[in-house]
Amino acid sequence: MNAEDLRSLAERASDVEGRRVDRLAEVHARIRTARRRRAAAASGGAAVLVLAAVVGVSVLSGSSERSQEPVEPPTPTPSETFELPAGEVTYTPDIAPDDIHGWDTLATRTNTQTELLGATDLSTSVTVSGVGNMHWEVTPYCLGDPDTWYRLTYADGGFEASRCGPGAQVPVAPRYPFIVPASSDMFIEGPQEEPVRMIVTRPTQAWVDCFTSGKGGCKADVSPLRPLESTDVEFGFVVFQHPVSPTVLEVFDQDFEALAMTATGEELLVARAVVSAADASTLVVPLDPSEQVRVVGVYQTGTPRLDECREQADTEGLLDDPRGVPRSAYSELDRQCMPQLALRVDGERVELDNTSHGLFGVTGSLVPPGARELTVDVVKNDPRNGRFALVLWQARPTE
Amino acid sequence: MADEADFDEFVVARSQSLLRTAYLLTQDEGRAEDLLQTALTKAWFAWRRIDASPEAYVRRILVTTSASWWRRRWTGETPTAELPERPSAGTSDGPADGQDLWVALGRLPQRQRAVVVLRYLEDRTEAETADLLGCSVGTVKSQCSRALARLRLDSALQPVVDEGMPS
Repeated sequence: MNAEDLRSLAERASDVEGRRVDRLAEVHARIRTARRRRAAAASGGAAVLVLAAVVGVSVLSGSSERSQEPVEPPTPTPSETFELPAGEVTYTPDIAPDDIHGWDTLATRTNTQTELLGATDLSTSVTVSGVGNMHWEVTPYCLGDPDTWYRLTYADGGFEASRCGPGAQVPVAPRYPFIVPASSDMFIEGPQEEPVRMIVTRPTQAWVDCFTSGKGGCKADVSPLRPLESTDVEFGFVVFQHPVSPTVLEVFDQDFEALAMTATGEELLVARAVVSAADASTLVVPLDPSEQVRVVGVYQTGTPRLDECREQADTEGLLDDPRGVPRSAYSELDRQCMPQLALRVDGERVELDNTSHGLFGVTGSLVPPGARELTVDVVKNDPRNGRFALVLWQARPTE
Repeated sequence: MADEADFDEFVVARSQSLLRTAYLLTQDEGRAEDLLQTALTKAWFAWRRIDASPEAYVRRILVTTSASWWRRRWTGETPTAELPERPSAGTSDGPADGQDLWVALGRLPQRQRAVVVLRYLEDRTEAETADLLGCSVGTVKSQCSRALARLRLDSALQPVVDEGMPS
């Protein structure tokens, strides 16, 4: 296998036609549906704070003349809980109980259910409606003899397989529970039917060795796996869905729902957003003492000066490409123009973690317990070229 | 960019090219069309903000959306988190069968699959690939390296020794 082999695969796509004739109409139908649902999701919950509309800095948006905004934003309400440097604005979302949505259970199938007692092959089909990102999960369990394996398959042919074992029980929460709280648009997909099937099987040792080694040498395909005729193991799966949730905050075209959840299932609520003053190079946010988990995220957008800087920095005519300016040109120019930010906690610089696991997709950091002072500094390029904001989450209060 | 007419024109003119990328990412014509329409719909909401190349913008949505779709459909071919070392001997580097390679490509984690599609199937530079994926060139290099290593180890590209399963 080499690069040429891979390139040859591209030919497979050359004849794909799709629904060419109907595509434009279907896309517009999706747009209409998404607009209706965005409006419904937003108006059904707490007041939406549209920060960008107030600070008026989003050169990327340039959208003030768009006639089809999904929601008419109410007037933002700056918090007055503490004093801030002039021009800094804090927004505190007013979160109602109904705004907080975690995971719902869509379906449960186990071979201990009366109608499925002793089954070795379980299946269901659920109707899911996702909001942009991953918003449904299937979590399996299999209790019993470790020589017995389970295989879980999805409609697109994706599968997973693992051994049964001791201590497994019906899942009460999704395996990958994290909820990304912000989306560049709260796009809603679906609803769509998603069939799920789970079997228990007993593979040969050769297959197990092959499957677990990852070294190849066997045909680790799913097709030979067949359900057992009978079994003593208890197994099954639960389908979870994170439903459509209202937007409670908006910062620089990022929509935020109330609840975020980490990969370990820790629930956090968006607590506040602080937007930098115009032309400011520093943003300071003092935090009250707390022993609760807190996460801070850093967001940024450009100002009209960013465009001016780009044009001046464009000595190679990258912006003059008649075929359209590629994003890479902006990336190159923004290295010279977009303010680069550093986050500090009590003066100590912390790395901005942009992995999607511990911090649910937020570019930011965990905040240590206690009273803290968060600072965002521009460490490179002209601060007037951008505005930046800090968004804080804190652990959801226990009831 | 300007208005809805521009958007419609873009869809008519460029969506077939984008569909091919979607197909390589999803390996299924129906899902490719779904992915493309999803990306186009998302792009419509940002249309006035796209001040550069709309095709690159939509292509980036395609890639990121396909990755998010994949996250809920883990194709856990290999339960080990880390890729085993490549065997030092006994692995053929000869021409791979197209169908097997297609199957193996489909078993890559979506991020690695996207890198392979963009780098090799669409012949994009590392910088372009990084830009489309929203990551560094270093990440593209490492993902690419891991993807190729994983492909070389994929059982679909190995001689079949035993696929026996009891009935």
